[in-house]
Amino acid sequence: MQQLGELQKSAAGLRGLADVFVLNGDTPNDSRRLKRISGISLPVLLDRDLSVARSYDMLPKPDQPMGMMSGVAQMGYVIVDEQGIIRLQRVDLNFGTHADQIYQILRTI
Amino acid sequence: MAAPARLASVQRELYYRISHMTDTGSNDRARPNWALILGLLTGVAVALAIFIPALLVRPSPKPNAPLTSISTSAPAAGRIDTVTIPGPLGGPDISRDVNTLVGQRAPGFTLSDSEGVSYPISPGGGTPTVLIFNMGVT
Repeated sequence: MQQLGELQKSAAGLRGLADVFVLNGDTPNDSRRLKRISGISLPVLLDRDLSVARSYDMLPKPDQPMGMMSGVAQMGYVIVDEQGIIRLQRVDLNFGTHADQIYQILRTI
Repeated sequence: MAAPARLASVQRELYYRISHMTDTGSNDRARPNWALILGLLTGVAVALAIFIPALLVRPSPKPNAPLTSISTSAPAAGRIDTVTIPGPLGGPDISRDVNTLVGQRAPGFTLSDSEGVSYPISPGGGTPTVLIFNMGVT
């Protein structure tokens, strides 16, 4: 939740370079609460069955930071270029704190 | 004959006392406090012994994250360019690249938000797409 608050600080800059979406497995009520607490202005989409996380290979794996968890997606991000090609899948527990890095990558690819 | 000897003894005593007397009349001449000086010198030596090696081995500040090279062109384009991007930050317990699908076409999907608004996502419409995966409240 804290990371979404951090991400919000860079949300406007990121939206200037890409279509940005937040995905999680929350219920609608939890998602409203999450948005209220974090103040996130990006679209928060409900991936209830984690099918999208699975299709982007962002479910926890044993050798990754959230490897011992289940029922959630890995915290992190996927960057797809303007042609629709996946350029980066990165697990990052501090994705909000590292939002400047996402911005930098978008400017590079 | 004892009187002159006694007088000489008193004179020597007086001379000694006068010669060791300070301006205040005290007989305590300012002497270097060798214990204090030795203590201070020892303290300085210990501080130098600690800080000089620390300064010598201090890591230089990292200008940025480690770098990662990624392919940047679509396979269909028949050309593969490589660019260098910032690598994961914070160590492997915090951040790590997965990159099992890099170079593949991103699958489209449709999800709704908490208000039931549907978002059909089809990456590749001329604008990059960033999908942030978050644990949410649950």
